[in-house]
Amino acid sequence: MSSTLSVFLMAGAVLALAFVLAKIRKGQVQTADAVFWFLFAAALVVLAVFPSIAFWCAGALGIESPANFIFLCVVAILFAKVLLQSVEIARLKERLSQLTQEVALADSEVERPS
Amino acid sequence: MEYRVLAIIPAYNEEENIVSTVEDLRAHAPEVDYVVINDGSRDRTAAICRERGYRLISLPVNLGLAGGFQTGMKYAMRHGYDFAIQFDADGQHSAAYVVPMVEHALATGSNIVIGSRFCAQKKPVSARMAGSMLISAMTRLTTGQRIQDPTSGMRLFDRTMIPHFASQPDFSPEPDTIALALRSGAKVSEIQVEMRDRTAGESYLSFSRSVAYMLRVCISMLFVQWFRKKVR
Repeated sequence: MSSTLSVFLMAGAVLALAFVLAKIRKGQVQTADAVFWFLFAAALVVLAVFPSIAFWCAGALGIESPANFIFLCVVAILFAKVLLQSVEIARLKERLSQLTQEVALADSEVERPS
Repeated sequence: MEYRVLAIIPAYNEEENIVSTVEDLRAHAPEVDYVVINDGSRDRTAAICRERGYRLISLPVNLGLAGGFQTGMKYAMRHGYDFAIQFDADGQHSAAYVVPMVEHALATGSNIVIGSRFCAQKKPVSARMAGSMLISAMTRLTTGQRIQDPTSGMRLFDRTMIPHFASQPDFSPEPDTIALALRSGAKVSEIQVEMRDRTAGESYLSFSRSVAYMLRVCISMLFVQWFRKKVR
């Protein structure tokens, strides 16, 4: 991995971590969800500081460039995260729909007691 | 008729059509109860229903057809109805066919009766009918049964189907759900009905929406279907 990429990755990782911490501070991310983003950003920082980890893993998996190994990992992790968020959104939609229906049904009983 | 039947009328911005729809039901199917589900309309749909004393359930936010219809199914289940029929608010469906559909369900022992435009008549040739034929073919392929008019919005459900539509998530009144019901052992039949063209207001189906709809139904019927749990 070139030193330019290493510096770029380090700067990016530190920025990502700072961004996550700012969101947690403002309460825009729930602490439970923040764990993921904190670990993700922290892992980026660790990889930037110790690029030998990426070199070793890439070598072990037979991937030519350590940068490709990092990209692969990031894409895989984000893919899983997006899929899980899709599940979460489906659950929220279902709950919102149930609540809306119950409110409307309860209202109609009030207007027209049977 | 000793059976209790509920017509569920999901209505979204139907101020121009709702009165004629409900009056049609009152005049031509007086033994059938009805309920208007106002799906968060921004026009005077709910106000008109209240002024005229129509039975109304008003959703505070828009949920879409599936959510609106499900509200009606919950109402049908809680009030112990024997049959529930999906009835469009836009004037396309004729109330005169409601009772014949119930009689057909009783005579044939069907769990679902579809008011079909093409049971006795041939389909006209158009892009929309190509979509309809594709869904028919997929239903035949996955369930072995021939459904002439799978996209008809006029469907009658008996009391074995009502709880599924009332409580199952992702159980929308669409062709893929009919196919799931068929695969679960429900009996589905069709009778010929006449449908009117929209009398007023705007159709929900634009071109891009039609394409998205077809894509969703195709993927649902050909792939997702096999991983869904059968009902009952």
